[in-house]
Parts: sequence; C-alpha cells; structure tokens
Amino acid sequence: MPTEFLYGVEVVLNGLMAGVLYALVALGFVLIFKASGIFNYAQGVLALFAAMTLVGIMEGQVPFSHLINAIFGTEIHHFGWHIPAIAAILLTALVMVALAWCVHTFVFRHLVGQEPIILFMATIGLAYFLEGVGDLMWGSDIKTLDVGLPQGASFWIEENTAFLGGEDFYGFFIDKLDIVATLVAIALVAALVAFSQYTKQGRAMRAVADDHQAALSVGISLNFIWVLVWSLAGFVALVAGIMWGAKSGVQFSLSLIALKALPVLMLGGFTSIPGAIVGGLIIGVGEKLFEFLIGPAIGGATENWFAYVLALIVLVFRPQGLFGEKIIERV
Amino acid sequence: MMLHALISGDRPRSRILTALLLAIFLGLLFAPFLFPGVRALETAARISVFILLAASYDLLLGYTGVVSFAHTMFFGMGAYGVGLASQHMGRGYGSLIVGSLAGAALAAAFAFLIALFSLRVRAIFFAMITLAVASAVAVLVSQLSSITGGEDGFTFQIPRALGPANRMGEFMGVQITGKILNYYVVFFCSLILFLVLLRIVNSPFGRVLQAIRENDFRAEAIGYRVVRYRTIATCISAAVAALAGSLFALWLRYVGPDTTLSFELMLDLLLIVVIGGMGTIWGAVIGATLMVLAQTYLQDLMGSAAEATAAIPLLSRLLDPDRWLLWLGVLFILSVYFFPAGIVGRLRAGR
Repeated sequence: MPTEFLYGVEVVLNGLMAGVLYALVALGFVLIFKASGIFNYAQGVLALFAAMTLVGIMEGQVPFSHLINAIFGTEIHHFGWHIPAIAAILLTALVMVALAWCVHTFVFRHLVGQEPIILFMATIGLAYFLEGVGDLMWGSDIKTLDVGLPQGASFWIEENTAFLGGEDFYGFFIDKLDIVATLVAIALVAALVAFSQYTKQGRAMRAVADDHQAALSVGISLNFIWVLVWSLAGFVALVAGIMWGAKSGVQFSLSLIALKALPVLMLGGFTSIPGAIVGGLIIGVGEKLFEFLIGPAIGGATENWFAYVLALIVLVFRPQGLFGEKIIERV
Repeated sequence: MMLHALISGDRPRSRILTALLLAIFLGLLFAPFLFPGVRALETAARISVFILLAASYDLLLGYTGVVSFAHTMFFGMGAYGVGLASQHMGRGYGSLIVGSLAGAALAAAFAFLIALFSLRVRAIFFAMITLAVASAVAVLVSQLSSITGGEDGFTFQIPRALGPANRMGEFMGVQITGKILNYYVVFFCSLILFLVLLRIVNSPFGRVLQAIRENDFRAEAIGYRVVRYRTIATCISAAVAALAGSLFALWLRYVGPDTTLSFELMLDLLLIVVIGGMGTIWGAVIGATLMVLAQTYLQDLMGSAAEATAAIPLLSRLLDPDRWLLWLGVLFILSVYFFPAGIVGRLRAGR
C-alpha cells in the first residue's frame, strides 16, 4: 500500500480518538440541555473541578487546607495517604453527586421558569464560582493526574502494522491512552443508553426531557430528575476530566475544553446524544484530515478554526444540526 | 422639555433609577475633575464605551429578542478599522474617521449577510451561526499576524492633540492634557450615539421591534415584514457596536484580540445587559457601570476588606484578592436570582 495512504489512515485513527474526547464533553452539555433546557456553560469547569478533586483525593490532600491552617494555626496539608485510583474515582463521583445536589438546590431550583438566557447567565456565574472554589479547595498549582492508565505509543500496534507499508513505513503511531479513552467512552455511552432505556429513573428522565408538565402529572419528581441529570453530567465531566487531565495535566486551561465542544454541539444538534458522538467524531477526524491534506497548502494551524467553519457550513443547510429535532412551527 | 426631547420621552420611571442615572451621567461628565488619576479616567472611559456597546446589544437582545454572540466581533471590526487605518494612512483625524466608518460599514455588511442566512429560519439559530462566525473570525484574526499583529495586537498613533503629551494648562486644579481631551471625545461620541439609540428604540420602528419580540407571528400577521425588521435591527446594532469599538481603540491607542474580540468580553456584555435589565436601554447604563466598576475595583475592595478583617482569619482568607473569581461568580448568581428582570426592571416594579 502506498505510504501516503497509510499516513492518511493513521491521521484518521488519531482524529477518531480526539473526536471521542470532544464527544465526551459535548455529551455532558446534551444531557443537561435535553432535560432542563439549560445551556450549561459550566460543563468545562465541571470537568476541571472533577479532575482536581480526583487528584486531591488520590494524593490525600486536605481540602481547604489553606483556610483551615489560617483559622486553627495548624500546618496540615496532607492526610498522608494515597488512595487507589478506583476508590478515589468512586469518592469523586460521590462528590459530583453532592455538587449536583447543591447546584440544583441552591441555584436552579429557584430559577425554574425563567428565560433560557437567564439560566445561561446563571451557569456562567456557576462556572466562575466553581473555578474559584476549586482554587480555594485544592490550590491553583498544575497537577499531574496518574490513575494508572497506560500511556505512550503502543509498540504492539506499531510493530504489527509495519508490514502494511514499504521500507519507510514503521507502523501506526497510536497513543495507548487514546485507545483506553475510546474504550471508556464507548462503555460510558453504552451505560448511559442502557440506563435511560431500561431503568425506571432513566425512563423518567426521558419523560422529563420530552415534556415537563406531562412528566409532572404522572408523578415524576422534577427535582429528583434534575439532580440526577446534573449528577450524570458530573460523571461525564469526571471521565472527560480524567482523560484530558492524564493527557495534559490538570490545570485551569482544562475549563476551555467547553469551547472545543461548542462546534460539536452545533454540528450534532443540541438535543441528540448520538449527535454529540457523531459530531465529535466528525470534527475530530475532519480537523486532523484537513490539517494533513490541505493545511500545508494554506499555512497550517487550521485545527483552530476548522471546526467552527465546518459547523457554520452545516448550520446554513441544516439549522438544527445533523441530528437535531426537526423544528416544525405550527401556526 | 428639551431634556424630554433629548431622551426621546423614555423616562426612567423610578425615582431611585433617575437619581442613579443622574449620578452616573454627572460622574462621567466631570470624571477628570472629580476622580483624578489615570486609573479612574481609564475606568470612566471604559464605562462610557461599554454603556454604548451594551445599549447597542440591548437593541438586539432586549428589544428585538434576537440572541447574538457576534457582537464583540462587530466591536472588534470598528477597533481594528481605526487601528489599521491609523497604521497605514498615518496618524490624523482623517484616518480615524475613515477607519471608524469603514469598520461600521463592514460590520453592517457582515451583519446583513449573517441575518440573511440565518434569521429566516428561527431566531435561536441566529445565536448558533453568530457564535460560529465570531469564533472563526476571532481565531483568524489571531492567526493573520502579518496584518493584525496576531495575539499581541498592535499599538498605533493618534493625532498629537489627543495624546498625553499635549498640555493645555490647568483648570480647576487639574492639568488638562490631550488625554482628557481624548476622554471627552470618547464620552461625547458615546453620549450622542446613546441618545440616537434611545431615539431609535422609542420610534415607531422600535415599537415594531418590541412587537416582534413579544409575538413575531402576530407582528407578521399585522403586516410587518418580520425578517426585514430583524435584519435592519441587526445591522444598526452591529454598526453602533463597531463605532463603540472605534472609540475604544481611540482611547486605548491599541487593538488586540483580548480587548476587543474575546469570548469573555461577549459574556461580560451579556451579563451587563441581563443584570441591567433587558429591553430597556437605561439598563445598559446601570449594568455597564456596575460591571466595569466591579471588574476594576472588586479586587481592591477585597484587598482592603481582607485587611480590615485581618483579626478574623477565616474571613480575611476568604476576602483575599485572589478569591475574586469566586465572589464574582456569587455576585452573578445572586443578581440573576434577585433581579431576573434586571436592576431596572426591579426598580420600576418596586416603585
């Protein structure tokens, strides 16, 4: 096979992996938007907060140590233990549930029935607040997140695909972390789908997304469902935070991945879970391929704007996104 | 009566609101004399520009009910227009005027195109399209560094009379420099454009926009071409935003993506309009003043509060200036919670 073509395949594979991460972030948006009509600007910060909490718990860092030490004059910073990754992830998940409850009880429960733009504003405030709290709780230094996921290029794949090409082809270069991320993302989506299709709570969640009032009238507790949805968004954020954190460290720029997810949402439609996934993959592959094929001709660095331009083109022809609900305006 | 005509008959309709507006107006009018110091003047100029910018955004968001995320893009077009014109045509009033007019024309043309594409479908998609366009433009501007100076932006020269080196003697104990003259150019241009906007929203045209916001189908049925009205509103709003951008660039003598195009700026703008009160231009005045003051002085305020409470360790740590993001977030949530109709809406209701 020609080497050029094989490199192209490698680019597509890497693009798919990047797309999975975009899809993960977008998924969190879709969950909340579908169930409550809130466009959650804080999703990226949620991922950051989850990753910080995970690192903090794993390392045995004392939360708010800065404050505690100031009040009691103590000098504690660490509990002095290291918790295994799995236990830490479970604990973090609990924290995310608690956070979801707080977010709903203290903020959004009081804003039910407000205009979408007001709710959007509230999530911006929430994003700032969470960033501040995260800083206060765990400190602002850059942390490395190591939950024991394999990292680095996979030599197995590299060696076993080398035969495909000629002399100067050394096999596909694929990061193990990307493979794990893909597998985890697939498992997560499968779990979410199973949850929403086969459990009582999942069905109730879909009912709420369909029609608030109808759901209310058959006795579904909206408060419960909204806490549930925010918790799920928190889990998704946790997974996204782990993957991005393992890749490039836990730092405040992590909250910017929310902006990466926007074109994905526009492309896939704001209310569609398959849309978020397919949109993420399309953009992941698209931007890598575009950079590979056309980038050199127009000066490179196309990855920054390609996603938005692609989303723009799709929007002009299909305003609701690829998978969004058809909008029928009744007169 | 003349005042009545100037504000187009749109009274604040609340005593407290009137007092606040008067205080802001007088504060800005005499800013160089009331609040000496470079930083205070900087803040006053920023408030003037942001009042205008927020008012132009309110024309779209509050009066027409169209959510746009491209408003800072138009703002940036005006700023870059002035910057580029001054850079290439040399310093002078000519390049300032050419730059701002070109920026405004470009912004209006862009707005027209975007509106044509997206407003026919449904107002919500306009938000998405503008977001996509604005993000793409912001990235392109920072990549075309040979023209725009990239991420760093560029500084440029403005006419000597408006620079700090131009000293014109003393007045009321304050050294009058070109910088103060520059401030008054910015202030009065903002004021005039603001009054024009006030005139527009209180004209029959503005009433039609409000009708469209309330019920676009009914407006169409009465015989108004909804798409046409929305498009015109978008263009006017974009052009005024570009002019505000020109004023801002004139004041800063610098343009760059962070000061004119960033997404954060767009969020600030949204917050200004929502906190002030959507659908009333006076809200823009209150919102912009509060927001700019909070951004400039919140950290200072917290610093002194932290010192004042040094005896109580918990409070003083919580009030540390490094925590300002946390408090800004709390402020947002509380203001959305207590003033869903904006401060102006609240004041009018509590009359």
